[in-house]
Amino acid sequence: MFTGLQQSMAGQIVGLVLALVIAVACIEALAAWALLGFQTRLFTALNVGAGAVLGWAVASGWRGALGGMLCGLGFSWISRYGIRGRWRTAILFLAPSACAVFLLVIVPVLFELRLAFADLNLYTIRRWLGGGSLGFVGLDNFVAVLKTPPLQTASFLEMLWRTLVWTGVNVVAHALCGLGLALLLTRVGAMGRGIYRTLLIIPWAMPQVIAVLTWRGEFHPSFGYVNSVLGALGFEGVNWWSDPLPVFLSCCIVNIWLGIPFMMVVFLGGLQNIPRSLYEAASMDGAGSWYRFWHITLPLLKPVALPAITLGVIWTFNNINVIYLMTGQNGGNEYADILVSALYKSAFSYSRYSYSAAFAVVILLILLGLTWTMHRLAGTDAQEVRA
Amino acid sequence: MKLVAHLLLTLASMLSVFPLLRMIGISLRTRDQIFSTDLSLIPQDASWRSYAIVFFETDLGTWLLNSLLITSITAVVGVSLAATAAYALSRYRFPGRRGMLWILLATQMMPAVMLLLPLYFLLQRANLMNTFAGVVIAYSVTALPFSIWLLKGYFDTVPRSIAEAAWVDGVTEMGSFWRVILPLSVPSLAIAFLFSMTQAWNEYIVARVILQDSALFTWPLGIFELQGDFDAKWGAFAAASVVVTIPVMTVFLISSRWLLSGLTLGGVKG
Repeated sequence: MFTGLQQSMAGQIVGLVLALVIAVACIEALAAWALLGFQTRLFTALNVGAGAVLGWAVASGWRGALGGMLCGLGFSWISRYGIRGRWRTAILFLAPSACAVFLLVIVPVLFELRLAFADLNLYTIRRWLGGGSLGFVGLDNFVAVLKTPPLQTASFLEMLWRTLVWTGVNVVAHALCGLGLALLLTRVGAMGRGIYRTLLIIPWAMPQVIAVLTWRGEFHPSFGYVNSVLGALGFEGVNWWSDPLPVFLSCCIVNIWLGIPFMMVVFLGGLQNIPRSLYEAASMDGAGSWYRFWHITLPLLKPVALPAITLGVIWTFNNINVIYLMTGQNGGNEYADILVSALYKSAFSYSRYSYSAAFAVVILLILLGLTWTMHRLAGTDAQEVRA
Repeated sequence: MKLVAHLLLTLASMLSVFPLLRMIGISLRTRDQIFSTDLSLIPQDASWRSYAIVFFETDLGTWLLNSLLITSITAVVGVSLAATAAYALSRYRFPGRRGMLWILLATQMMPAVMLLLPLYFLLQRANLMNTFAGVVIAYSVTALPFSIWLLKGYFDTVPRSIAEAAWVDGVTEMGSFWRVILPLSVPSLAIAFLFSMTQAWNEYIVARVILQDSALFTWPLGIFELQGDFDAKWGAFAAASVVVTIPVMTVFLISSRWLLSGLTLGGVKG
């Protein structure tokens, strides 16, 4: 079995390399002819067109065509600027990474878009792997994303709402606790600060998989530390593994615990960069500590805090580790699933491929909207600071 | 006031260290104590049995080696490709530059899961499922744009005059990069390398989809298997966790100040 695998792989690679060599040679001939006086744009268009046709013919498929088009585009680019010499170094420096990013990012994104309009699921995958077509179903998958539950019960809108609550709760808790701890750390002496800082940074230093799985054990309804403590205090144990709200809460607690150190470190750095003299001047003018915090500390922390919070929102929105590790195992549930973790489960646990591709596109649009809004908000804030 | 600060900080420190201590405590329990609800952190008759199980009866060593291999290849490939690209993006104002930066930024925003589905099929088509190469490719999707972005942030801070001085002395553009800029940026290359490495080292979600053969598992997959559903292997899980966590954490804590300066360099200046 193993040798068969290798043979087919070798065959594929040889085929691919051959196709590329032929495509490049043909384009080169075309280019040499075209360079004799054609307009650059026409030259590029010709290259891309030729690349598409050749790629399609050689690799027999849209992917070949796309590869060919890109070869054409890249070639016309290199020959144009390469010959003029101005961007020669830049292009040579960029070429390897550009190719890699193209193969690793652009091709998958385009393929995902194609999948979103196809009809690929557990039943049709065999047909497709056997050489059949992907099919085309128009916008059906997008309609399905909005109308049918991504997993089993929670609808898309419920999940969107849960994602926003999850992101809001976590980021606010991270920022507030981080700021609080950073402020406390500036109050104690240098040695104490070093020790506390090291201890407080541990949630970040621990491998996330281990931290989350350990916490999951602590939330075990009968053997976990959390319920044991609750029991010792005379409360009834909570069903952290199977009741809807506790499941979501436990995920939030774990994620908050994980994310505080990052915010703390960022805020501590910001605080230490605020000149002491500002506070002294304010005190001389009779400003109280609350006034100093509100009018000196917070505005001066803003340039550090805004990028960190933006990052935090994106990370939390995209956080799948915590939720999957807490709830995604045998006998797991979907009470804590947010959009991204539902996407993972619908693709790889439920094998609804085309549906998931459409789901991914929808999530990406939401994420883009979210970051754009935040960018706008942050932008106006920054202007206020400058004014 | 100062006392209150100390009290609050001590409380927070206890909360942040708690799972680690608990993990060590469970790893030292004897077999019949695994399900004990005893609240003391170090069990009464501590035993090293779980550690013996981990070292002699599980594949932890193989998993760690697999992880090390995958992680270092990802980091080496990522950083070496990224170094030249980041320099080009930082130094030259060529047509298409903004578009490329935009793509890089968008990639950082996208969750890894989003590209995992198409990658899953592309890897399947290329027969790279269940291979290290497949995992390295999937990790590079995030590691490469991240390294480019981080290093570009660093190169933006290197004064233009340094490279130009080298040109004046008759070194070519390429030569000035290799002989002047690159040696200057060894620390930031190391930061990018360490970041890519830690990200890949702790990754679980992507590896789970690509690797099915337990001989090829990275350590997070292996440890997840051990953890199972809170059965008798819980002690082994805890012991393996301690074995993995202590070195990783030590490296992180030692290099943290240095690493964090690098993070802000890429993040804020980017």
